[in-house]
Amino acid sequence: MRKYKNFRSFFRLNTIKNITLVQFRNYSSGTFSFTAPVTCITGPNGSGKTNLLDAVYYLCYSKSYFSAYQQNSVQMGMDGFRVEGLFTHEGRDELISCKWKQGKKELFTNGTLYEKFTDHIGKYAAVIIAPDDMELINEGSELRRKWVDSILSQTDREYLERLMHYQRVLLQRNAWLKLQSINPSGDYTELEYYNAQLAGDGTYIYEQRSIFIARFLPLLSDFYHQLSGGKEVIAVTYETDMAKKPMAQWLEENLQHDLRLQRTLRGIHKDDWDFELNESSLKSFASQGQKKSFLFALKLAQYTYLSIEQKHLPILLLDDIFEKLDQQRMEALLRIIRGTGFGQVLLTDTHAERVRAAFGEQEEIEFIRL
Amino acid sequence: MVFSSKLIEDAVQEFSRLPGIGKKTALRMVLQLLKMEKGDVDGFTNALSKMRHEVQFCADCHNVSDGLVCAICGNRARNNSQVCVVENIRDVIAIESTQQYNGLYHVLGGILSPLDGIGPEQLNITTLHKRVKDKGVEELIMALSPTIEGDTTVYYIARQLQGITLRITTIARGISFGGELEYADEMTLAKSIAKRLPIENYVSVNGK
Repeated sequence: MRKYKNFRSFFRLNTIKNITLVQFRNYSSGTFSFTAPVTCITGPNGSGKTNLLDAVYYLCYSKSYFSAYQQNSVQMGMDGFRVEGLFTHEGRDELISCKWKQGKKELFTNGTLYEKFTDHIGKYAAVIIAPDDMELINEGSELRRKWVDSILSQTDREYLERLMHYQRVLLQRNAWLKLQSINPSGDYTELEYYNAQLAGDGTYIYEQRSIFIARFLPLLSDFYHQLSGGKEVIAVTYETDMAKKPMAQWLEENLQHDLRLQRTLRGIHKDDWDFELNESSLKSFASQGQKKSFLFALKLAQYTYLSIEQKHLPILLLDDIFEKLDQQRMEALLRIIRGTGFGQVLLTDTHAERVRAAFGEQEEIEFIRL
Repeated sequence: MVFSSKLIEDAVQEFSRLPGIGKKTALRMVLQLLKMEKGDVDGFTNALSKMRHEVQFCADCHNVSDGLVCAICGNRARNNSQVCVVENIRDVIAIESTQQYNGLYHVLGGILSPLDGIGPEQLNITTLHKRVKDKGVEELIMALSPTIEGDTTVYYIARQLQGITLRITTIARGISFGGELEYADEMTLAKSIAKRLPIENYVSVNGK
């Protein structure tokens, strides 16, 4: 076994020892164990490599990373699935099971039903790096907001509560704006209440997002330079209406626009983050290679941020990434993830030899061949 | 379901319009009625028909009533300076069942929710305003659900009544009675600590 250095004595290692899948995606049933620090899942295309990673992710967050529809996680033609995994949490074994049947989901710890899913969130963390994640850089702002929200919701309970409250109030405010366009009452009393609620939650969310980005940037910059070997200056600009004036003022002063378009135009629900390399936009000007390095750095920084906040090391899930990386970046990535500050790694690849060659002969890797 | 009688089928159809009643339950009820004496069934249907025709809504509080004014509003023994604002008639029944409240009620008939198309004009707020102004109400107790919609309604009413000398209170929120702390959800517990009360509300240690 590898010797855990100082870093690891502060951060407990949370690992998954084995997993059992029943009617999950393409698995009728199957049990897999992960005994080594690095597990490599190999097999031809369509054999279910990614599904196995997704099952591990599912047990950590009780949802799929790849599909928003729970029904998609069920094996074709079946009406439910079960995923069960043995984790080690703070030195103790814990069996987490998730059962999904006809739209009803149940989550158990050591056989006892969780009353609320939120009690489970934050206990086990996992970070996935998958080929489609490039969307985070190339696509619209909604994906980036979801990404930041998912990190902050895991580490700050109040953030999650306030975010959910904000979204519900926003729905009511927008519905109110629509009603006003059909039947203007001239009575803005309800609006006053919605504005006050949105301003309270919005200010908190804005503050937390600002703090987050300030703490996240040094991690991101460090990982980017390690991966690319380059010297580019990394910046992440938090683009938010709140920087210009407070939420309460936006809601009040922008009312006529809001009424005309029947929705709330300004607020933290419009926030975005602009990624920059040497002061030009990553999305529009960076090369594919630079984007790739940036994406990996984002995910690694997410990993480190979560480990610092939660005081334990997440499980790192790498989906089919060796194919997409050149030799230099691959070596840099491996140095990082096998160094201190990183824990259990599960990865998929079509070729076992490639992974063996990349990690070197002395690395303890368990191979699962599908 | 296949019926040999159109009469039975119609009756089943009617019963299954009620909430919580499916076709099978409806059939059971119809068959039971079929077993009963004709006179008894008349009594049954007359009670229903009479209820629907004769029930009125109280002109003051909008509660169900047998007359122009309901039994609660008409009761001289009740404290008419206190009015408890509730969402619907079910809430009146729930609070009455506690036998701890001796004031009057005001039934709003819903709570403000633009998403469901419910605005102030759908609720009995104008009559509340009038009642507070004209009838010497001293205290308004808001007994509405602690949700965004409930809180919006509380805010709305409080703003409408601004400028009128009146005490507006809201029912306590927090740890339920007889509840144990470890089972309380974190949000409730956090709010209960933030809105804590002096112990005099519960025990008296003075004069001991």
